[in-house]
Amino acid sequence: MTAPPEAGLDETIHAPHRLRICAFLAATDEAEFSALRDLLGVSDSVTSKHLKVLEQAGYAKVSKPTGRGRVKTWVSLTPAGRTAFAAHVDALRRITGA
Amino acid sequence: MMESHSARDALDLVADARAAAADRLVTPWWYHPALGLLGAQLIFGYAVGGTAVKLACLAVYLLGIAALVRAYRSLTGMWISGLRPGRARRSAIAIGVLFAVCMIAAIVAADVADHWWPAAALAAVALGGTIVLGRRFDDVLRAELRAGR
Repeated sequence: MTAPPEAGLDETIHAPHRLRICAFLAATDEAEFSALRDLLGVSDSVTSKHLKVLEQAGYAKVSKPTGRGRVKTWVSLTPAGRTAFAAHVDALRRITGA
Repeated sequence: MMESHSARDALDLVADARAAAADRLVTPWWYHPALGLLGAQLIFGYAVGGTAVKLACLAVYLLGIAALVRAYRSLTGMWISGLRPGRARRSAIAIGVLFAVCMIAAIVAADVADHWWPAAALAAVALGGTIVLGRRFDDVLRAELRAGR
């Protein structure tokens, strides 16, 4: 028996900004906050808001290394986030028949 | 139920984000030569140097790699492991194998021939190979990101 086309769709990921964040992070091991903000073309606060949602869902890990100089925030997908994103993209492909 | 066209729009967003990652993957021109030089000095130092030289070369190598990684992350705003699954991994592994082969051959050559020049030649091979394979790694990785793999 095959899975229904929409099995694996994830509402947390599907919002356009979060979908783009997840796609970018899935392509990398880690990305800096400003790279994600530039990708979305929105403000710091909007980017933070979407990262918070992904973090609360257990899909993203946000880290601020301590040390000298300017502190940069780095973001990565958790294993659960990678699995959920892959399932979401698979579901989208099934729906489009791709 | 999600419409097919909105699913297609979502997949387009995914493809655009991956292309944006590929576009950011612009390695500075000096990155691979610097990486190759770090490996080359380690090969040469280990093959012909005494204990103090070996330790100094190892320290330069480790500190240099750490500085390169930090500079790369700072300039590109991202990090992609060379060992993630995909075709690009072959180039990363090839750099490691080339380095190991040149290192072993340089140590053996210096021991047997008792000359410094075979080690220097093998260090130069490692330097050139790192530049060629490193640039190939970047090209393949960019293509993989754009292709969605």
